[in-house]
Amino acid sequence: MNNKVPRGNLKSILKKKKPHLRLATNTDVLVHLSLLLFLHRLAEESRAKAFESRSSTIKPDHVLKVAKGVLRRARG
Amino acid sequence: MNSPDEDVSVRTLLKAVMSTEPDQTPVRVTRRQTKLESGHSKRRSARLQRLDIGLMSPSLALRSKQKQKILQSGIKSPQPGRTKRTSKGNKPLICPGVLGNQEDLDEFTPRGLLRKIILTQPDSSLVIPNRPVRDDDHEQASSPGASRPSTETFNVDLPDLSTGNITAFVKGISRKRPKKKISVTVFEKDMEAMPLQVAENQQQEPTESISVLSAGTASFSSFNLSLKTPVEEEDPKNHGLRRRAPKRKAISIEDFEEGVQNYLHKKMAGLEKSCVDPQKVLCETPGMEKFTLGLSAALPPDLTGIAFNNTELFEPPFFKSPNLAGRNTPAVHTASLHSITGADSIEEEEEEGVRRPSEVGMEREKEEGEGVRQPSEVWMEVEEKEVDEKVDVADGQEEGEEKVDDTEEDKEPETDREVTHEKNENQTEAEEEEEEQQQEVVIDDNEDEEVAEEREVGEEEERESVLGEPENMETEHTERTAVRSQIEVKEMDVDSMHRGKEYSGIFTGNRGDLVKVFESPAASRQIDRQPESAVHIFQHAEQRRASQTGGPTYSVNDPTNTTSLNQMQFTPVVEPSTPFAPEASESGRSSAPGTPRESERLSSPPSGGAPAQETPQTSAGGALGAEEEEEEDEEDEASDGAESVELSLKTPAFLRTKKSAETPASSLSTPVFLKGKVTSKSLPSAEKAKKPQQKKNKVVKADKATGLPKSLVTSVFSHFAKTTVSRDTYPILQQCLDKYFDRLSDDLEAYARHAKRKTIELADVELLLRRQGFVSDKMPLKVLIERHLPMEYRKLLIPVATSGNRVIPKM
Repeated sequence: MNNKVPRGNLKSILKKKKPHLRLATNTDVLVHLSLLLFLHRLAEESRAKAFESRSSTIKPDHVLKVAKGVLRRARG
Repeated sequence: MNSPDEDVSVRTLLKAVMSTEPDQTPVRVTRRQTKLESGHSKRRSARLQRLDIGLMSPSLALRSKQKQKILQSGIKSPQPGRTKRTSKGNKPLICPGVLGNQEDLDEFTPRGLLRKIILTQPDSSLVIPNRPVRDDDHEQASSPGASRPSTETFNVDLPDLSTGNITAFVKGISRKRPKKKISVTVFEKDMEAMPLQVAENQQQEPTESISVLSAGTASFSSFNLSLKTPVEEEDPKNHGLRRRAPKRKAISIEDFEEGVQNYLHKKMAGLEKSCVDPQKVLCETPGMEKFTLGLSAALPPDLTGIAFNNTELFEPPFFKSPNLAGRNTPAVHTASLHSITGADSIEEEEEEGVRRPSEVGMEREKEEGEGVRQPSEVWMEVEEKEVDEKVDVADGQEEGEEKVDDTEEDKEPETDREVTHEKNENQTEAEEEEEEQQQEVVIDDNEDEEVAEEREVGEEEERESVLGEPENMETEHTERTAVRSQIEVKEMDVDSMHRGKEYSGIFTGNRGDLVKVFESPAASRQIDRQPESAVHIFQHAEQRRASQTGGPTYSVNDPTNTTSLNQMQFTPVVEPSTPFAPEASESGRSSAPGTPRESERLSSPPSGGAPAQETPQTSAGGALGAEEEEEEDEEDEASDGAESVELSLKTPAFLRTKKSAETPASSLSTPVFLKGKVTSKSLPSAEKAKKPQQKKNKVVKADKATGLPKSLVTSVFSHFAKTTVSRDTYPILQQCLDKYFDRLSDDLEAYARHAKRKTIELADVELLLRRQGFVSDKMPLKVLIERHLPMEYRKLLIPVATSGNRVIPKM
């Protein structure tokens, strides 16, 4: 398990996308939290999808099929 | 005299013991006396006893006197306790007839007990030796017993006997039931004799003696094998001695069944007497009901209910007409192609685009051939031409065909409509709204007949063209271009309203090519997203035109188009069309600059009604880039210029590839099996486009396209997934994350801007989480923080109050 949030990474990403925006302190941690939650949801859905097709491993097509729905749900 | 068999009996042993006993008793038992004699000796007169007393010690003399007194009292009382065996305690049994003598004093001593045993048990012995052997032993035993008076105690004396007797004796004394070896007849004889002995034994008081007796009897009975249990005869009298549970009778099955039946009979009798009979008929016995469960061979089990149950987990997906499938493939293909901006695919797109205009051209040609050139037709052609020239080939096709679609034609159009519906759903709901609005407008128009004919023709041509070969398209296209030139010349003034309506009608038509419908809203949306789509579309148009007509017109159009696009403003439908109508009418060339604008406007009306263009645009872009559009439109209109154009070229392509991969994959309305088909077909094309794009991205952005370290992503995902995750999923994960980041950043920006700030605050992120649904009233933020984040960050985020009125972190 990782014990470090990639704060530098997150900050750089946000900067690249929105250079004109600034980030307050510790906001990237919360952003990371949202990222984790999103991945969690994605993983759950794709796992369910994989089980649906009776395979114990998660294949890329499972993730694909699920991704759009999860993205849509997780839009602000 | 005792029988010689009992030489080694208890009596003899006890005699020996008593004889060997030292001068402890005033009474001396002479060895000469046999059992009977001993009995007799007990009946010695008091006179004789007194004689013996004289030789004893003073203590013994006292004892003897006491005995005498007792005896005298006993003599006076006529045999009171002879028959009575009182178990009340250790009452002295005064049996002058039996005991009588000084020996009564020895009652409570082991010696006395043993004496009683000897007296009362002539025929039994604890020993289990062979009888003939016993005789010898008896003689031997008696002689040593007689000859060897020892001063040893009673207990020790027993083992002094001959070894042979000892073992035998020990065996006999053992509590265990000895094995039964001896014949039945002898046993039975003894059994008969037993009750006599038992009766005699009853006279003796102590239970211990009786227990010994019983043991003795048991030992005796052990000689014989028999099903009888002789000892049991004593059971009713000696309940306390029994150590084993009372034996149970072996129950026979017949008795059991009888009992059960009786029980049931009673029951049934209690309830209903009539029921018994049918039960009997059905079952073997009423008692056996429990075992047969009410079933019998007479009635076979009813399996029909089981057989006809529908065990399917879900109903098979309902799929529509096969035309749909047939339609889908080319449409998907074209759609994917059109959506993809790969260089390789452009040519294909061109071809496809060629098809479309060719189809439309065919329409027009036929129209012209028919010689029915009405303003509407011309206008249609013009419109179509314009559309072709302008933004998207598909638009024109859509216009042409959707016009046709306005009216009836429910056969194949339905299929097309369905497919187009699917496509629409893929894209956005807003587009449907747009189409609805347009439909309303269209209905007002009444150019049905000819239009319908044209549309029909157009449709047929479409179909043919869709299924046709590119070669035909090229030829058609060349023809069409000729037609176009004609049309250009013949351009006529058209009502702006009319045109607008027509255009709206065109776009509302649910029929027509899938691609067209797909492209029109796509085109419209693309147009709305100024830099991305416009440039892209123009590139398409340029290339297509260049390949076909070598169009200087188009080259002229390009700069104008771009500029016009960039300057595109969203105005009501009516207005733009009117000013541009005359422009269009002027000349082909002049119309060119106007046409792109018109196309924009025209596309924009389809994208949104006059009043609410922005909202539909936003809604149109809702799927994946809505916020981008909004923000871009609102903020970046001016600034976009070349930069955004370039950037958008890359990102949208990338996005579009992802979108294309997703949209066909996750259409809600398509049945599952079609979904699979669609995904499979769209994926290869999407992936083809992705690869060049990804390579570019990789080269340019150098691992920062994804941003997050791959290891982190993989670890987190696999942790959340809890099952094995194949490696191939990670690229897709990266893409998903990219997209998510885009959205996230846009959202945060919007929130900050709404608060009129330029920095993203924690509140913004919290709002984002709440809007995303991760945080709710049921799931507070802090819980999530504590769940998912490492400790250090929790401290940062959650204020903790410490002593001294300190709060960490500082708020």
